[in-house]
Amino acid sequence: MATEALDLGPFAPEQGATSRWAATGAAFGAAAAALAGIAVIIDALGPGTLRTRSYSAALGAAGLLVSLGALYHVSAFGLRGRRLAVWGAILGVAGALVGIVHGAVQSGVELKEFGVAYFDRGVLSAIWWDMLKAGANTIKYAVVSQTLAIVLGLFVSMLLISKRRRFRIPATVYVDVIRGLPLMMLIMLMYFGPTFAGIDATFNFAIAALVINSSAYVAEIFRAGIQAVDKGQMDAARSLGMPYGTAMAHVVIPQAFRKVIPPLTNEFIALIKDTSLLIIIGSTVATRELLAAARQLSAPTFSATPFMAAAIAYLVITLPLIRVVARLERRLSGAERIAFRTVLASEGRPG
Amino acid sequence: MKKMLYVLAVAAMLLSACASDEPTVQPKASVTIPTVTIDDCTTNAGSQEPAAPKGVDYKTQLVKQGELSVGSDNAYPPFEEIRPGASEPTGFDVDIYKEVAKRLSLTAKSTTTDFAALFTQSIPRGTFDIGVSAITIKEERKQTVDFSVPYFEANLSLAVNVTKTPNIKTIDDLAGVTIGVQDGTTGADCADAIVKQMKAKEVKRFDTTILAFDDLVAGGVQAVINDRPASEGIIAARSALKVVQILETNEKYGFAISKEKPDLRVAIDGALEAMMKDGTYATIYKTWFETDVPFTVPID
Repeated sequence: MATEALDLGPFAPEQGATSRWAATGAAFGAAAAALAGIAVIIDALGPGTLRTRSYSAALGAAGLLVSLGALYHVSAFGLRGRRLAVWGAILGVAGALVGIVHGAVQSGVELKEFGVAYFDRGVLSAIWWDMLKAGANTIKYAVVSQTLAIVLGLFVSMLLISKRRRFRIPATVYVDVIRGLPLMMLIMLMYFGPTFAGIDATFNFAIAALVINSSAYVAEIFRAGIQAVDKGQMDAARSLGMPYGTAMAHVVIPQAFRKVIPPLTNEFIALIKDTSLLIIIGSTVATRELLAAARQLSAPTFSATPFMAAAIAYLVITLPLIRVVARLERRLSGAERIAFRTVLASEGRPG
Repeated sequence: MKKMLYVLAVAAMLLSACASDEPTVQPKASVTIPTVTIDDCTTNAGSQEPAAPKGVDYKTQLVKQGELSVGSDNAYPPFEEIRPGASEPTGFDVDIYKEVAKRLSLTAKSTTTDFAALFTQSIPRGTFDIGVSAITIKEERKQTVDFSVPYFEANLSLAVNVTKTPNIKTIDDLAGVTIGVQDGTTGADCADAIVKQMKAKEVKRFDTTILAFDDLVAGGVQAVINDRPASEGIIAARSALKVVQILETNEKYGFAISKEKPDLRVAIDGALEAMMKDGTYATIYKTWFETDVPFTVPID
């Protein structure tokens, strides 16, 4: 391949292995960005106020320049790696966004109106405290439900892996049925259902529905995690004289924990979002969670800003959790290694 | 054998939830229900300024050509509901807007949507042409939508579960009680006022009125404040519930129309007024309420 004519610094092609797929993906991404840029420029030559046209022309020119740069790298086919593919994808998305925003501006959508509808500062300053309290409720319901669901799910997972049919079959039925039902339906069934037996409807039954729903998924997650631990671990522990329960609790499950943390994280994030389904059984100012608060606040303010605030609040809650749990996972992997080595060492094998 | 057991177990769990309601929508004419007027439950009802038409054909203001697109929560018998087995909604409102559409040479098409969002999103943004969902004409709502001429007069009512709380007879008995309402309705505003005035405990908001009444049956709330005709329509199928007091708010229902469609509004007003003058309105009223129209039409 010819050496570069320019010194492009961090954008210079580098030596290294690559995959043809990655390079192809990058090529497509860059082509999309180029097309978007060209379309935008052609559009800018059409009718519209001078300001809009000049913005569009600037955006289009930027898109084209960026895509030309990407194409240059792609032309060094056979020397790029995954980095190219990522760049190509980013450029493709950027090009598409440029096209969309430009198209929206051209079709008369007032960006200012959009801002007023969804990001109204006056409304935000009026609602932020209520949204905060609702967010606290969301977190509370999610944490309580998830904790109980993990306890219940762990118990059910023990039944799922049991050798005895009398335990395994009801547990399998439970997990399959709960996973097959829509959660909103489960909430309504558990909230309004007990009234046929004369019991008044209480909010805790709705939380119980969240717990039961999550427990089915947690049970499956634990089952998969436990079965992923090498059978040799259980054999080694039993051969040391540990009863089944102790072996499970002290050897197998600690090792399973590392494997189950990513899917458990996903389940928790899904649960945080599922708390929004509680809106169906009605909510008071004290018990409402984020979505119900957004809905109830958008009526008197006649604005969609509360929904945007709720969306941001959900992100604020879920994104840090992902980071925290990632760090936890790294910690637990250390414990897993220790447990593994302990068992091996006491058998006399080099660890 | 194992598989049979599994199938039977699943089937047994699923069969445990079967309930069917056959709502009959006949509000009982109850002259014995006491009435009260509450200043705090004002609805700023009634007047709508005349439209300033743009002078264009109203047909150009429609979402889809030839169609009058209607947004409704379709959960409010006897005004609109989708009966079991039906694919189209039926009700008093439905007959009214179908007749209006006929007079404007259009086909009415109803979409089930969120009630509270009608004023904040769906109508102002042009998702539907009109909102017809037993909507009370309110000053607040006129910020974002316009209204047609009024086509119905109603009051609010207080409904309770007489098997669980037989002692609640008027709004003065609502101390410490949770009141259920539909979010975004005049009933919700009234309940908020009552919480302040009568020291009721709190207001619980639901997506639809039917859910509020379900919760009244279930004991999650002890009272529901909602428009009287619809309350009586929904309660007809739930024997534990009764309307115990009427709150005289003299609300007037209107079609919610986007502010960008004044010509459509003029056309609809014309059709509604013609219907009220030539007796079509009275016929529709009698079909659904089984009495003659108790208020003067056209409504002012």
